[in-house]
Amino acid sequence: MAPLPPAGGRRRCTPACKDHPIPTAPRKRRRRTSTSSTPEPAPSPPPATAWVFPVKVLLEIVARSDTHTLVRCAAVCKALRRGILSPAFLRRVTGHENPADRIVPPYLLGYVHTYDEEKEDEELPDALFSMVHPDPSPVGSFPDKHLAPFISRSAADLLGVYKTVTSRGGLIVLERRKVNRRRRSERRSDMCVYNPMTGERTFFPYPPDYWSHYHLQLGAVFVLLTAGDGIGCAFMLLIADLHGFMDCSCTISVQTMSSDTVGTWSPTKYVGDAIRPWHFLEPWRGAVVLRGGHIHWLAADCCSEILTYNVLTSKTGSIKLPCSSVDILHLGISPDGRLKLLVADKGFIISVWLLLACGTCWELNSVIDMEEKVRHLDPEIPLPLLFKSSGEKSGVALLQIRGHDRSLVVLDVETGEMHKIADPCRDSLLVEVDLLSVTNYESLFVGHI
Amino acid sequence: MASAGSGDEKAAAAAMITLISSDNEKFEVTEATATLSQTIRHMIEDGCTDGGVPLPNVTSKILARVIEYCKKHATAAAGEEGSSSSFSDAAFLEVDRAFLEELEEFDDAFLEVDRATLFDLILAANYLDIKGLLNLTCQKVADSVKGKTPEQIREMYNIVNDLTPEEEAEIRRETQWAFE
Repeated sequence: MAPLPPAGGRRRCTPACKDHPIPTAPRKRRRRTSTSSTPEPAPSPPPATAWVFPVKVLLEIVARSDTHTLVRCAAVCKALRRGILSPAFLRRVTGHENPADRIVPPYLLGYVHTYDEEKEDEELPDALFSMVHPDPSPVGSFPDKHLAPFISRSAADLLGVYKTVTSRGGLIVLERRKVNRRRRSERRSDMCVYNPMTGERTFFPYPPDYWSHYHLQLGAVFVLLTAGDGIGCAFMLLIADLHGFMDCSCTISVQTMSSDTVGTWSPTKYVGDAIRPWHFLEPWRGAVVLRGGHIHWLAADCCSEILTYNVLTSKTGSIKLPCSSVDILHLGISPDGRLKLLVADKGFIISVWLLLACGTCWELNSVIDMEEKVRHLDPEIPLPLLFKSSGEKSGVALLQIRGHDRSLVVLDVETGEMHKIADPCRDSLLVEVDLLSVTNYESLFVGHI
Repeated sequence: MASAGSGDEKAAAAAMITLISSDNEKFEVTEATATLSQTIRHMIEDGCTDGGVPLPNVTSKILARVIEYCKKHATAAAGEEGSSSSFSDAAFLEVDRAFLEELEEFDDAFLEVDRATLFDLILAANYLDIKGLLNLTCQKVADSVKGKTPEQIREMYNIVNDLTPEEEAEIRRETQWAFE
């Protein structure tokens, strides 16, 4: 039950003093030792003043603080924790209903940096996490002040030995820089799913026939699914062998491993039929996953298509693109959970397409002409710009400047705003944490309470 | 019933409401002032304010302050309404700015109270459902909470920690970045 006394119990005695903090119950922490519902005897003497705010009032106060304070308040007592973790409150503080209420940024978009700790001349990065600021307001600055130092301190050992593979839903897949392929019997830690917000790590081996079987030249064949995708577990890692694209056998084989069965990969499953040969997946552009475990890969060849695979139903499929431009494409998810396609024409006109509910037709959502904005940002920047990566849900695209490897242009596709950041030159990976998703908060704050 | 006819409604505009504090002190306020409180507004709408509105959760000391706030803000709101029709745009903006500045100064001075009074004002604003006052007072407290540890927050608000040591350790482990 809630620890706060009922409303009737919140009258106060005479305020004892003006300048001193309110006298409280003895400082000794008193906790119930088990789930027993019998409260301990009242402390003696009873506190001279006993204001106790109803949870509703405490939440009004929390809603006017900041992210850091909000997370701390969620560790104060059960009733306040429940209130803070309720979907309605989270929607409020992330500015879902009214942007003026925002004290928590809905998305964090940042780079996680890795390095080789064995290399003697390898310079240790200043910070192992750096923000791509889609939100330069004070609300957006909390990761720099709190999260980046935490990651740098807590994960230096991990990020010095592992390198990044892929990231989705706030989790990062890492693999060992130096894998001992002969080692068979020991506990294997070839790969790791790492949560930068909590520091949590889960280690596991590659699939048994990884080195002999998988077509590694195709690049990113790993897809990470997380609780937010509605798969019923904390995460699931899928590895796809896309060899079928190369030899016209029209099949892909997949293996999965979930957080419920860490270390044990599923048997290889062959899926195909719907897949036409000679697609070429864009390996550096990660897969996009819609709710229900629906994976979407961008495939570009003479007939541009999106390949789909559903991890829950094992069904494959494909979606035709709404345009023939194959140069610069990018997939994402719209705020209402639909598949979003970014197409850059001539490198500075970006069209945003949304997939309709029928699953085959697209609607043109918006067109952004970046030329003037880029000129305004820096007249020296040569057009066209190249897509480097983008946040799946935050609607932020990172664009590379041709011939300049030192800086990137950050474009907020929703608002059309852009700014320049330094290009993280070392091994780094774009990580997006969706703070709007309640499931993330559950993992962020630990559920069950 | 206040809403029985149009004549009554006109009279209601200048009608006075009696508020009765927990220590039985009576306060006469205009309806415009009283209806800044949603709680009282609903009571007026339901026609149950005859014979005064007892507020058993609010002392006379706090109620006096709350009324002071409501009077100021009700006047400001009425002044703004009036000005929009009788001034040219420039003059309106000028007056508007003057009103806002005056209100801001009033609010700042209003918050110059000890913590006990501030906390009581919050409880009263919550009970009476006065949005502006709740916002003002909660913001002041929120500013003082920033950077505090959970333990300090519990002390400030007399909150009993009902998390088991295991639960608390788990929460801290999961959100370590916020506790360093």
